[in-house]
Amino acid sequence: MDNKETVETSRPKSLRPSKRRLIQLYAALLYNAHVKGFIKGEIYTGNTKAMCVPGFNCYSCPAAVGACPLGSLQNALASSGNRAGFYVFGIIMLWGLMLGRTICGWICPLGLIQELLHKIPTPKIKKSRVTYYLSYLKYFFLVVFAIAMPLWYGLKQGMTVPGFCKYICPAGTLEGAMGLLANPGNDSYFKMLGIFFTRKFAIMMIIGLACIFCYRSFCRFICPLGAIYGMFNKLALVGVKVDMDRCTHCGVCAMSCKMDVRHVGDHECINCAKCMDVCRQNAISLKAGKITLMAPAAGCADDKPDSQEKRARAGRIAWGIAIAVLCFALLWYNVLDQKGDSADVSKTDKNTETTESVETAETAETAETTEEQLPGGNQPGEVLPDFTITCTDGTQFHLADSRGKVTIINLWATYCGPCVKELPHFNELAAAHAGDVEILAVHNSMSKDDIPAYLADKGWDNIHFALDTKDKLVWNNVGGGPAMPQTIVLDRDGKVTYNQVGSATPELLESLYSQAAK
Amino acid sequence: MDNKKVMLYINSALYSLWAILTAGSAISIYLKGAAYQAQGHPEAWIFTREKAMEAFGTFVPVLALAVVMTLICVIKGIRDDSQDKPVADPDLISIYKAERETERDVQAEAAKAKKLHIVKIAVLIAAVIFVIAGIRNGSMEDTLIKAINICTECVGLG
Repeated sequence: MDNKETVETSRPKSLRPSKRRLIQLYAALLYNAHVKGFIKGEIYTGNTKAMCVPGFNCYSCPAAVGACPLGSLQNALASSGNRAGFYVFGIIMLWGLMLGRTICGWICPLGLIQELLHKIPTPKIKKSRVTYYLSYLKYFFLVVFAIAMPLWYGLKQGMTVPGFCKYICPAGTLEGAMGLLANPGNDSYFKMLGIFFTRKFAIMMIIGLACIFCYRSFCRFICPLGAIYGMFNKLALVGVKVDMDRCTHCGVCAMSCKMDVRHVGDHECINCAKCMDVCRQNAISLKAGKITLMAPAAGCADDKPDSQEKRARAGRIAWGIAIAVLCFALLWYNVLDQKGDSADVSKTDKNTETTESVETAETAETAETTEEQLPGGNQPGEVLPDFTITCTDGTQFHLADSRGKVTIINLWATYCGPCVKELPHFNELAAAHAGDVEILAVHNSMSKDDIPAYLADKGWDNIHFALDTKDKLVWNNVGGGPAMPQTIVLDRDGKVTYNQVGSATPELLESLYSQAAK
Repeated sequence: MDNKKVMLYINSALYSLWAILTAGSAISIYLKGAAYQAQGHPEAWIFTREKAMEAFGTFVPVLALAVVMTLICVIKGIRDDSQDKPVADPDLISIYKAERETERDVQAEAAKAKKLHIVKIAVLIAAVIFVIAGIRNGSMEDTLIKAINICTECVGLG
């Protein structure tokens, strides 16, 4: 590296952020408008989460108000044995058609983080033939981790395994795990941390470090969502367009681009429009169909005399509307919309919630609590209030009837990989201590799956399975939250000895049983 | 090597060191905790907030030093601007040259654009049909269910 050429001392051009940076920040805030989620340590559970946002943004982030398209795609593929995930495919196609990789360059929060990391002054790795070929690596991640793995586990083993989220995704670790762990109210989540967290944390650090030295490393070499949107880049309505009448094919645009593009607008181009600044022919502009969104200083060929002025005015109006939308979103998600929070069971108010919900459940048609309620709660040392629930085989499970035995309640869902993975351990425990342990596995009340059909060939005959009632009778009773699996162990007197979120190993289950059986 | 370049290298070394130490401390906590669990304590927590704060707190001075170094570089305007200049790699230039040759074929480009237009309409129709079919077959509800429940495995909690 020649020092004179590469290291320069220059005053920062301006501290004013560029238009693109403002839009990136705006998008990141709009995707994560549920800011109070960080304070409460809970995720948003309102209906807007059915909508996939265009950019990479983990839906387990406490502030996220929409679904991650890549996470949703993997989950849709994993459950394609039950139902084709048309909705997610359609939404991704629509985003791709409208914006292509403009999403990566302008409205992806992870892209913003990468660019900010790259601002740290260190020696930088320039693009080369090596990075050019490495850019194809993201298709490997797309095919293997985001498509093949969820499909394989979903169809062959009936398990939801979103391979990319599980093994690689740094957004999940940063926004989801760190976002939840940062809140002191979520200390119980530390119980779950093990090899998965350690591995993903190390991967996140490596990717973060790589982004400091190499521009958008994750985006260029790993991101499966970028790979998908790249396929739509030529079809996209919005994108950087070249005026072929002005272009002299000098190639400066591609040579100056930090991404591994071969030409402007190809599958690697994130439409950041920085090439507009280097094009001496003023041939490049950012367009939405025939409408020019950003034009070179000299204007476009089809510009009328007042076009620049009109664009500036439209820009101001667009910003006005965008700010109004953002203000409304912040107000809605943090103040007005209580529905998105009420579905959660506040960690601090678990006991209060439980009593209330048991009282509410008395009027429910599908399940009823026993008339005599014991005072208590769901924390260790407290007696769990009785309840009765209808099992999937039609029988009734009365918690009071299991007194004198060790009772284990497991909260699970068919779409929760770790839940499905640990259920055989519960079945083995029940078989090993037949007659002395009752195991009730309660499925989350929200499900589109046919639970009895799912369980038919599993052979988990030693477990009582039930689908929680719509008003979440059991879930609220035991203090279940949005994280699964959760295991609750009761001793022979019905007193809670263990209540934790996280996967259970055979050793842990045996140990919990021994303690409760004393 | 002049002072400015040295500063950039020191800065990169500080950030790398911090990242390695932080990741290393997480691995160390895991290894110790897993070993303890294997010794007949399956209920023991591998990570706790206290352990994490203690481990990561140790390396805060390294990060603070890196941040100070960054600020100095920003204030003094020291940066590696090699990326702002057009690439000089002859291998890459040959790729771009080949690409430009194909761009020159105006007739072929026009034919391609026409085909793309048809594909665009077909994909749009397919996307709309997919979204409607997805709302009808319940896959939209599937998306909601998965998004409002924390996928502990996905975010790396376990």
